[in-house]
Amino acid sequence: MAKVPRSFRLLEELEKGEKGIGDGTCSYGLADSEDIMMVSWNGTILGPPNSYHENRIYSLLIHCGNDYPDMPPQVRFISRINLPCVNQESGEVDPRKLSCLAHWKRTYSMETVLVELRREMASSSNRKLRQPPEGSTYL
Amino acid sequence: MPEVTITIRYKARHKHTVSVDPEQTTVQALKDQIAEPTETPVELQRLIFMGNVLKDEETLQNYSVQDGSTIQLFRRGAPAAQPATNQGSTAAATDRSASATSPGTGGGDTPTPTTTATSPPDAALPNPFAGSGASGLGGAGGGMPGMMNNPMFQEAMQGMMSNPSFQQSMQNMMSNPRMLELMAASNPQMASMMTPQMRQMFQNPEVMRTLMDPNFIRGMMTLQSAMGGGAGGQQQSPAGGLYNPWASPASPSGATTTNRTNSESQPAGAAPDGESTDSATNPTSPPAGLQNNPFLGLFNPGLAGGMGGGEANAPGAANPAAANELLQQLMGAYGMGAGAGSTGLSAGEANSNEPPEHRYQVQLQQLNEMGFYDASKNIRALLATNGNVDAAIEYLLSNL
Repeated sequence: MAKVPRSFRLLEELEKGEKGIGDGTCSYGLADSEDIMMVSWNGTILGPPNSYHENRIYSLLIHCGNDYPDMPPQVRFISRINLPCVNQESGEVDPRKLSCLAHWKRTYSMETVLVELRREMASSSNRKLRQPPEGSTYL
Repeated sequence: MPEVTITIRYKARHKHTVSVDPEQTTVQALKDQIAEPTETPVELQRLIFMGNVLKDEETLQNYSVQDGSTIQLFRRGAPAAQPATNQGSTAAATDRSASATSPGTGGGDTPTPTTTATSPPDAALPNPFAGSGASGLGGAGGGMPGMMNNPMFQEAMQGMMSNPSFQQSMQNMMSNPRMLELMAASNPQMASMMTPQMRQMFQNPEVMRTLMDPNFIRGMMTLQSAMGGGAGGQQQSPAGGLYNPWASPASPSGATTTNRTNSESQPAGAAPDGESTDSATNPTSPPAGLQNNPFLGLFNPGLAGGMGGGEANAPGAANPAAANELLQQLMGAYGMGAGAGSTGLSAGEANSNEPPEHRYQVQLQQLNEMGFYDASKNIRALLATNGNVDAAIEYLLSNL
């Protein structure tokens, strides 16, 4: 298959984000609509039910560098969250600890990352983790 | 600034559309406006759009809300802010019992509303049924943006168009005034554009020949693909609306699909034939006939302008949309078997309103038998390929 250039890919994702993806529990969009390079994105994840995260909305920043989608985006939580893959000092998601980032494929998208993070929140191994109070942030 | 139409999505797969002026409307005002129809009190509403939690005092414009945008509404779990550590609160407990009634896998077709908190536990996988809800509104539309841009689909379409027997029957059909009446009657959008000129045009064999010319179709398709990119680049302008109509309601999918699923009982439609045989032999050559086609400009001023200027011009948008709509109607009508009459047409329309998992039931089963077990992926592939199992397989394999 032909390689989709970065800008086309991101436009595609932008449009998808605008329409809302999947069941709407994850969402993303350009942080600044004037940003023609489409580098900075906002994301939100609605905490999965039956977990500490239920009914919480987590905000993230996604940074799509110039080599996206050949390389994974950098992802960072704004809302405080306790997950093994999240650096507790900065909120950054450690790419080595989240499998979709560690084993990045060109076909993955920001949606892939958000969805996997949400799955992490729901996973049984992380369920027992104590979570910081709702609304606290890293920044 | 004029009003735009936006969609509020709530309770996993419910939708409500509202018209607002993004410049004037604050988030607070929007919440007031949707509280009743969505049965969600303002104080429990949380709105999310493109990665932002919308703040009450901001206007929608500040969040770049525009025509066709979808805003997600979540219901706050408990009225009082829950202490983070208090996991066993009653509110959470009730939510949990509610979620127990929401099946995690299959029962997507039950219309019972589930609360936002009760999306299936495995919602990490995008819920196929929720996704399909997106397409519920306009029938086959919504859920498959980019369908017309899908190369496989284009190829199939081109194959069909270059099939002489197809052209023949198309022409027969078009020369029958009754057929036009029927088509007009079956779709209000069609009716509105059935001006006398239009009618005349359709009854002129010369025009029809040009319209059905494979080169012309190919040109249109190429334009559409091009427009996909172009309009995408103009997210901030109203041109976004230009992009959507391509995947608009009453796209041929509904009709062709019915054709497929009923193919046992129905004499094999020519559409599948054309698709399977001709697309193989039909070389996807560049749109040679594009430049010298006199009707392109006439039929599609907006598109032509959009291409020349490299930017979509909004005023023209209605026109190509309508033209495209018409084209899709024609194809749809053909899919039902030429001259099938009003019953056939309305059946096609009704069917295209079904959720994809119904519409593509047969295809889904086939895919399953072939070892593609991921229902959500299967549905996505079928939507993208318009229910063509062969193309869907190719799609699935190429997206592994």
